[in-house]
Amino acid sequence: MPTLEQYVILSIILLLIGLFGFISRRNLIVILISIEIMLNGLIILFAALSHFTKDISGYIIVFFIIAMAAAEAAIGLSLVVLIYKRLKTVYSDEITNFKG
Amino acid sequence: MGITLNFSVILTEIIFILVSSFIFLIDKFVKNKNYAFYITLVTLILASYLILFVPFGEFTYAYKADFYSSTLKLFLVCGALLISLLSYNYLQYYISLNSGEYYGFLLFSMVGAFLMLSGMDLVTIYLAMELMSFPVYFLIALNYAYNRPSLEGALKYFIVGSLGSVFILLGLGIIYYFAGTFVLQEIYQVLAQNLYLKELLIGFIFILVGFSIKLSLVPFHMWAPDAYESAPVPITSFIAGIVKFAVIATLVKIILLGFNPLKLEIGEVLIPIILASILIGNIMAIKQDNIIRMLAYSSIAHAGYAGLGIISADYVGYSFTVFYMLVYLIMTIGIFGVLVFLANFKKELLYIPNMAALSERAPFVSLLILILMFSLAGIPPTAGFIAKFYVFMSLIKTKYVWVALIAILFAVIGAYPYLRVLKVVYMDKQKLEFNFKYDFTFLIPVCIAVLLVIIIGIYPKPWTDMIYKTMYFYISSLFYSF
Repeated sequence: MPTLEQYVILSIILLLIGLFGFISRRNLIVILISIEIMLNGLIILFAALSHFTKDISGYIIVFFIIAMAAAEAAIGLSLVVLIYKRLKTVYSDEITNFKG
Repeated sequence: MGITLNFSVILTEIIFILVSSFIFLIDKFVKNKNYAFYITLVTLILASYLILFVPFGEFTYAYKADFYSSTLKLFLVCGALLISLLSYNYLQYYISLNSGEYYGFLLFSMVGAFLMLSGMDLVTIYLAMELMSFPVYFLIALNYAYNRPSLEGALKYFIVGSLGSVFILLGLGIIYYFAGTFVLQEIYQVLAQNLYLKELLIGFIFILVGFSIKLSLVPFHMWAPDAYESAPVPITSFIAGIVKFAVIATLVKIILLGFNPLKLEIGEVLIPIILASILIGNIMAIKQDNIIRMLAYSSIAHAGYAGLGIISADYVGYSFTVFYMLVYLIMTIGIFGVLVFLANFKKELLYIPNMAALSERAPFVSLLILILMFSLAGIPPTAGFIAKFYVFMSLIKTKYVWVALIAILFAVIGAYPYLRVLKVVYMDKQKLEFNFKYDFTFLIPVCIAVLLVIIIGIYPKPWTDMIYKTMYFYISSLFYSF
């Protein structure tokens, strides 16, 4: 049975992996996946806290985060598909229409 | 005390959601697309009626309609009315945007702003903030029919906004770890016993990161000019006015109800952020030729000025913050209304050098630009001056004289970009050919905004008193909560 600290460490590691991918990768799809990884790390944090403190509100926010992440993925994917159709690229360093 | 399910309290939001879903459903089958505008207009007028006359109350613990939130909701509805009038005017000339979804997304975003203003726990506030910002991403991306790069602006706003939501959730996690609750008043009770002060401050700072991404304060401001430039012009005023107003009013509410014992520390944390956003917003505005980019940088600076009231860590200062954002909302609607007029008849006029000799061709519009630019720069008989004056005064009263001095110095720099527009409009000579006619949907919102700017500038006392009184209930409720 893992302890609360192990869950917290796991969620922090996931968060850092997501943040690293968010900053360093150039592919828009990978950036979206990095955001999802960060949100999953936070879900683990809330669920573990809720489990160990016997408090229900952590579980509730987990469901809200799942729904919110789905909505965010839908918006992000639709934007990326539109960008691929119109601007012919999915790499963030090739989309440079605005300067200054 | 049980949970109350008082549906009349959330009637406004229910009506908004039903109406916008209805618009989404029938939009395919209606040929004349202006129907959505009339539905939206009727809905917003009905909403203002409901906000004025439905009694206050709670819907479970998460939602509470009280004096503060209802007053600010009334301001938001009035702003949204003016913006929808401007949108109607704009969409007559940009027909591809004229679909029912445009107004449906506006209504959805308004639902988010309402829920955010009256949410009583952090989860509701967070979800409402997402509900407020998701439709805005689509509204920006909608403009790709006329301006293909606008997808880039929408994508930047989306990516930065989702990073902000991750940060807010991280802050919520830290607060939940230490305080064990999301409800604002219970957090206040934990803090009032001097428990976990430092840890909860760190949690609040993470929340502040998410909020300052929406407010485009400085380390997180890079999305603002691109997103503003790529959005349709009325939507730009929506992002700059209504979204920022709702976000900063909610931030003040969170500090007042939840993190009240930490308000001095929060003020100290905000000092470098606010000063940097005033400086960078004003300096970067100088070299912009596109007037929308110029106004985007100026909106960064204006969010900074409004934040000065939060630095002062004083209840009167908080009310001046909300007052500043109200004045900024009015000014934004006015100036972007004028830009809608210019974009409708000649799109090149959105570049400042092309606006030369506008005063000979369109003297009335130039007069409106004059008053609004004076107000944005903060020159006396207008509302912009009086709002800045109050904010600086609250800083000086609470012994932050050096912050006030530096901010005033930066404000002097900030007068240049606005006065440059006036110089180009009134003094430069150039041949300018464009035909125009005045529509009522343009004249009504802009004239109301300009009149309000002058009225608030001459006689501001009832407005500031009203905002302070709405806040007074929160302050008095803190002392009786035990």
